[in-house]
Amino acid sequence: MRGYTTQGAELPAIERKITQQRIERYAHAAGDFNPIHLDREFAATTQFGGTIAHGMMVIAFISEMMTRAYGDSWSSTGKLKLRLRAPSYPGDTLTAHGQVTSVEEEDGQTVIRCGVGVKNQDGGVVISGDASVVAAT
Amino acid sequence: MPVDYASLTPGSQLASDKLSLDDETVARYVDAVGDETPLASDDDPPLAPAMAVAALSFRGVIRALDLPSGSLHLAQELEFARPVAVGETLECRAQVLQNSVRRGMRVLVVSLEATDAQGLATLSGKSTVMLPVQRPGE
Repeated sequence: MRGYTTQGAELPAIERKITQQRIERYAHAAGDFNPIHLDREFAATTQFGGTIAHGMMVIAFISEMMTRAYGDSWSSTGKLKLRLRAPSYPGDTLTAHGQVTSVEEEDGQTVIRCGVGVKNQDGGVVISGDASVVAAT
Repeated sequence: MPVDYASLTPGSQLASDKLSLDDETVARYVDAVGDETPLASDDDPPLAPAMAVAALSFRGVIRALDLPSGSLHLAQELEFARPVAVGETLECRAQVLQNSVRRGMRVLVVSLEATDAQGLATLSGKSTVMLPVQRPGE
């Protein structure tokens, strides 16, 4: 399982640039056309001051990181519990990161728990939370 | 017709949709998020990225809620039960778990379950969103 089964191990970080073009492609792919993501004039009048990325798009970076670390085990046993703490804007560079916090035997399975999150280029926390996955046997 | 958010009581069904994870739908999603995990592993047909299944399963919820400006996605839980292959069709059902008002904002918690053609669970999730409370007449 690529070495991410020991407490303290750092997961393979994912870095992604947020662009308005990427947000628009995501809107079409996911069917989420809320103007806060797409309408620059409207978004400028909101508390965000401009368009923001979809939360589920940013969460995808965490899921991709977990897939890279744990392969198909992630899509068959993965669990995520996340708080979305700050918006991300076009121009931001986001980094999904994670670290193994515990490895425990439960009901005959090895359960790996990780602290996960997404930070922006300034170190600001965009998303934070926990993930778990059952180790492949 | 605007959604009457106050009428969404816990237990009420919000959406029930079929989701076809065809090649084009998954490819469009992968391109949008920039997922570099290879789709084509040893699996034939290839497996869809876990988050593609999750995000696309929530499309019915997004349509049904039609969230107004000023809404915030506060929290997200997901639990994957099995990998889903490109080409599969899933049944996605969402219901309201909680609906409360705090400090002038409505907090909605919505659950989602996606099952495959055999009725087996593929994923479940819980979304928490906050939206402005509508005033009478809005």
